[in-house]
Amino acid sequence: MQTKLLFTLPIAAVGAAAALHATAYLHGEAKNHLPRFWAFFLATLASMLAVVYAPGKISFLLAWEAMGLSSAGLVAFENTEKTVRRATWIYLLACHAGACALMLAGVFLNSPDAFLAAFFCAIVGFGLKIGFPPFHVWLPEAHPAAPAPASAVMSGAMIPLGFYGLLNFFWPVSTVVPYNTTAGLTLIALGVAGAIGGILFALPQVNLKKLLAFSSVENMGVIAMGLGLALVANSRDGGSLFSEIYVLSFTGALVHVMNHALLKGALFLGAGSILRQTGTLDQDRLGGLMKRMPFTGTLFTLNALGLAGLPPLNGFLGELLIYTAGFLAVRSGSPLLVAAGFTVLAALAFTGGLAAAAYCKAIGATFLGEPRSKAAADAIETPKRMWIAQLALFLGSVAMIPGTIFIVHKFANGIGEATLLTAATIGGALVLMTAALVGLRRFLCPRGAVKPQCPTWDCGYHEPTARMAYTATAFTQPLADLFAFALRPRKHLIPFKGHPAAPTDAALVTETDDRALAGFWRPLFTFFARAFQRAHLLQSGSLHLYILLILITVVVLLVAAFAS
Amino acid sequence: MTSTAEILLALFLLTNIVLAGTGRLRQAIRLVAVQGWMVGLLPILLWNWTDAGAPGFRVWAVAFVNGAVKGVALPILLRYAADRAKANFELEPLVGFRLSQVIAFAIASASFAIGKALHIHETVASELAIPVAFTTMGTGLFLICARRKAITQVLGFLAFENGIAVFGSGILLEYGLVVELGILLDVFVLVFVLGIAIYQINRTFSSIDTDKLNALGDVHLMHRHQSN
Repeated sequence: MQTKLLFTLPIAAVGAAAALHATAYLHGEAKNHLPRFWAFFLATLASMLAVVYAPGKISFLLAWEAMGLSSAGLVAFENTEKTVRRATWIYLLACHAGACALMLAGVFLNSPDAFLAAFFCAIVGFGLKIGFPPFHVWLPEAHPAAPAPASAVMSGAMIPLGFYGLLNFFWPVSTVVPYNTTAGLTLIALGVAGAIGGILFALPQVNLKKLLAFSSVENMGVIAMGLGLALVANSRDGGSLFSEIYVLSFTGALVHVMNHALLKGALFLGAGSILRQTGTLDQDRLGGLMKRMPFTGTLFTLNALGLAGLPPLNGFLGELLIYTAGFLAVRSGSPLLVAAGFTVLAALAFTGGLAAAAYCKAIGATFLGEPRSKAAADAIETPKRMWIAQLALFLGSVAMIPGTIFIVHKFANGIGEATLLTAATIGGALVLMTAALVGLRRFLCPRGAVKPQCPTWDCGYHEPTARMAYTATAFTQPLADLFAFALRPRKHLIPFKGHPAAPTDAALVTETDDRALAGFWRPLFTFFARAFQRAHLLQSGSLHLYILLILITVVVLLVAAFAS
Repeated sequence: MTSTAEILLALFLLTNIVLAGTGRLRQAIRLVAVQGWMVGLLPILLWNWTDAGAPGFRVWAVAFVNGAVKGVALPILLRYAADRAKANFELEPLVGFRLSQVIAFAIASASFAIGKALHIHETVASELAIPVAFTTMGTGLFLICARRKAITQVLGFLAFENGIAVFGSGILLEYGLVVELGILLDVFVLVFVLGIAIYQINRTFSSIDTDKLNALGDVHLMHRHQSN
């Protein structure tokens, strides 16, 4: 029941905020398009609730399919654009492949011997929604294509439903202890791959929503690591320390579901506000928006810092629980658990650092400095509704700080409460210090005092331009080069021409594509297309041959049926 | 009366082989009509007169309807369609008539082998019933594959259905006759629709060669697309 509630809250919160945001976001959209958006939007929310409250497996699958279909309608909203249609297509493929795998999982689940087969089918089925690599391909395609409120709902509330499904399908049967280790290690491996891969690919993205989408892959990875560690700890019979690890990492994962929902929802709404006011999501063409859209900018910054897992915001607390579980696991002495703990800790630390860098870049390139295009320079603050929606989600995430402590106190039997209280105290101290610094600044430079008006980063140049500042690409270039072996960015250098004394403009363009699409899925689909091309031999076009083929099939099947 | 039934079944077998070797449409229609009468007669001949007494109204009714529909109504309809389409002879069959007869023989021998292998002797009224049923179904399906004229294909379908009927009455299913009536209704409607279809095909292509229908598929387009 509590898990149901935990997964309902994001749907309700993000759904309501996104709806409020959408009323302004869609302003100016053709009148006859609006009913289409709202119909699909409400259908998506309803089917998500149906997924959570489905009484049986069949109804769960039906709701799951409905959820995929209705959200595909949302992705396809701006269907006049080719990229949107392509993204919808990929998303639909992912949805249906996932549903297929889930049906298989349901079949396997009926026999207790096939537990692992069922689990792996479910990993594929739910993984296609959650975005485990390499099943994450649809996220960076569909999220930028969908209208912002839709991506907020899909990323914040819908993706984590995959975890709900996994819990729902497998936690009741997970008393099958020998399989828990395999299942847990699988989740940890997928989580590590998702977290590290997701944040690595988020880093160099110039499209803000693509960056957020990859960051979702990362956060889902973090949750998977937590759940995996919990499963591994649960599979060992080791007394109170093991159950502590189990409870801590499990709670941490669920808390992170909540945190990610609120913060990522708010971030997508923020990205939508930016798109609406400037017409672009290209961070290399934005900049200086903090002065022009102060509310959106501040809220985006706060939410991004929270999601990067920086204290004192709540994103930190969820990860802290998993960290604590990891440290306990390392101390536990069971070799498997020590290894799992080390892996989780290292991956968490690594992704935490990179996430901070990625959001630093997103905030810096979008909001700080000087605008790099006319669209960004002319931007004005959004209507109130849009930033109120983000503010509501942010306040919700702030409420999650005592909320986390409450959850741990109530459901985790107080395990880890002390750690959390310490963390909350440190966080509180940080907030107080910040407040004190702000107060000091006010004291030293009271309101009404003359503020010098000058462009940002006026470092003594005579006429500073935005071209002197770091662009988003330039900011992440060292890190992107460091991980070039994994990212394989495509660089186009446009060299200058003419005499070196009077050169023309030179430029460097870097694109980082999703490797899973080009490296895994495209070859796979090409292979199948080739293989099935051979079946064209059968498609002769002759009616008689078709009938003969049917006849042969029927006879062979009959003989096989009677022979067995 | 079992011996009479077996003579009838043997004749049934022969009609199949003749059907496979005939090229004249009228003769083929007549042969299928004869099969229809036999299908009507069969449940009465297979009836266990000595133990069960005279068959009830249901059996007579089904026998009569079967014979009337398959032996009279449908052949008349097909003959009408053939006349309207001015089709008298199956020219250029995909498989030659002699070879067709050989294949029909092969089907018959295979059917006897399968019938032996099936081991469902408990309810079978006659040893011959199952092989004959399989032969008839096989020949019918073979005719569908091997002939060009739409009418011959409908005849193949009817022969196939006759095989099912023989199978049904041969193993004396409990509600076999009722099921039989249901199937009969299906077949009647189907042949009726096919009769209309033949007329339309003829009107559109001025021929009832189903080969012409191949031109309707998108396969040719697809091949062309690939070769580009």
